[in-house]
Amino acid sequence: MTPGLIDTDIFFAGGYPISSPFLFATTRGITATIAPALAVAAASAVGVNAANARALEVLTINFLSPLVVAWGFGTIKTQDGRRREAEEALGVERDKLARADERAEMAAHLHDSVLQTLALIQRRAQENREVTRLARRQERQLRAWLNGGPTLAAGNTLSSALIRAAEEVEDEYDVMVEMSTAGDHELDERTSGLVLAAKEAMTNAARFSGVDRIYVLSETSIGLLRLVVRDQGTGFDPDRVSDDRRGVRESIVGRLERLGGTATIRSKVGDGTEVELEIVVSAE
Amino acid sequence: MSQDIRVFIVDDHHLFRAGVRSELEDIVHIVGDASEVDAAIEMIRERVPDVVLLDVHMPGGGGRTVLDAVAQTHPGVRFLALSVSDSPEDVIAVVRAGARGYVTKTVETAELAEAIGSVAAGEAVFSPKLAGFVLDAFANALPADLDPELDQLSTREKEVMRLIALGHTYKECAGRLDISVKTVERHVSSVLRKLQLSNRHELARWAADRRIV
Repeated sequence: MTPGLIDTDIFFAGGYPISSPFLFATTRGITATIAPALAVAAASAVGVNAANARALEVLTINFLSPLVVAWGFGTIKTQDGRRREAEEALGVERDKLARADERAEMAAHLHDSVLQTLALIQRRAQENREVTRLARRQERQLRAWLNGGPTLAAGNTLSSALIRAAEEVEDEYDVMVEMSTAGDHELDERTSGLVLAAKEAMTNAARFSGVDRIYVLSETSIGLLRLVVRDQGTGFDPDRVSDDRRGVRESIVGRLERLGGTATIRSKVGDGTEVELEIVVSAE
Repeated sequence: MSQDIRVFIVDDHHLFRAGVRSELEDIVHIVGDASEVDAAIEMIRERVPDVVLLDVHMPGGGGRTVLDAVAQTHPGVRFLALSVSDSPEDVIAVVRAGARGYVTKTVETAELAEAIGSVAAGEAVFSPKLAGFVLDAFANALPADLDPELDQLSTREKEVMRLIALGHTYKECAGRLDISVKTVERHVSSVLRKLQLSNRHELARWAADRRIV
């Protein structure tokens, strides 16, 4: 209610008996209107001689008019109620929009401040690996949230599964996986197997290479899926892999054979390791 | 690294600017920094640095506005894009607008310094990430109405991009492919040119589809 209306209210309420219930109804509600209206009417009746026809006329005006006014306002109130419901629904919509706006603003803020800070921490905290790891994990969660909708990592494709596998390796072994995916393929039994083999290769690199950065490139061209996992670490002599290193033999080479593909491991002591996985798929 | 490479930093994050500044101060000659688009354009035109380190995410039109404005008056100023976002559309947009390379903000100081040196020398700098984006963007078969000269990568260029995506330096690429470093640089520059001039509508669509952020 604006101050202007309240001023008007006070002015008219004291001025004319019929206008007062009208104004009261708008400002105070229906119950608050009928009660004083009847009181005013009753007070008028007491002061008037009942035998006087003129007084009856006055009585009618004083009793009935407030009732008519009250009835009128009852109708208005009902409509008012409907309007209020509509307004509430609109309000819910508005709230939703406001929340979306708020979210967008928050997202912009997080992007501008927190992501930058996390990047800075990762640059400056090389001596403190736990801090780096925390920053990286937070960064990933934040990116997922900022993105709102499904991220590439949440999808059900080869690339998505590879990204998830890489994130698990990053978290578990405190390394960074630089992943590039060119083209994509649906995730089926064979491509899932390919992801498992790639994850094993990433895990080996994380555990044995002695470096904290692993590169992965997956390429899908017509009929062929090719995936390379590379590190620039200590390397090893592929001919002298001990029997307990089941990872390479079973989880990578054996798995690819079962998938009807090939695994090629290139490594040299002191010169890093490269694991290349290939499977042929029916052209889409 | 030559101390006389003149570098200007454009980034709206004070903390990050200060960080990069202090890291690079002993390696290159930092001639200034700016946090806003208009101020950046004015100062770059005034100080004419060799290399501008440009954040691709800037309010008020973004890094791209700076790039376009400076290119009009000072085409000799070279840009290296730096981004925290890794979002393909942002990266491809600044590279197409003329940046000679792209590195992520988590790049180590030594790598960043090396990248600045390469850009100053007129070379293209492709981070593994950018090489991956390029391979992805050029992956699909070529629509019939496009120019194969500009709109697809040669076999050699693809090989170089693959090796870069796997973290190989230009020198290592040269060793692996049994070609000279100069030839590798030529291939990378050629890919950059294709990226900037290609009419592949997929480049735009691809970037829009692929929102990794």
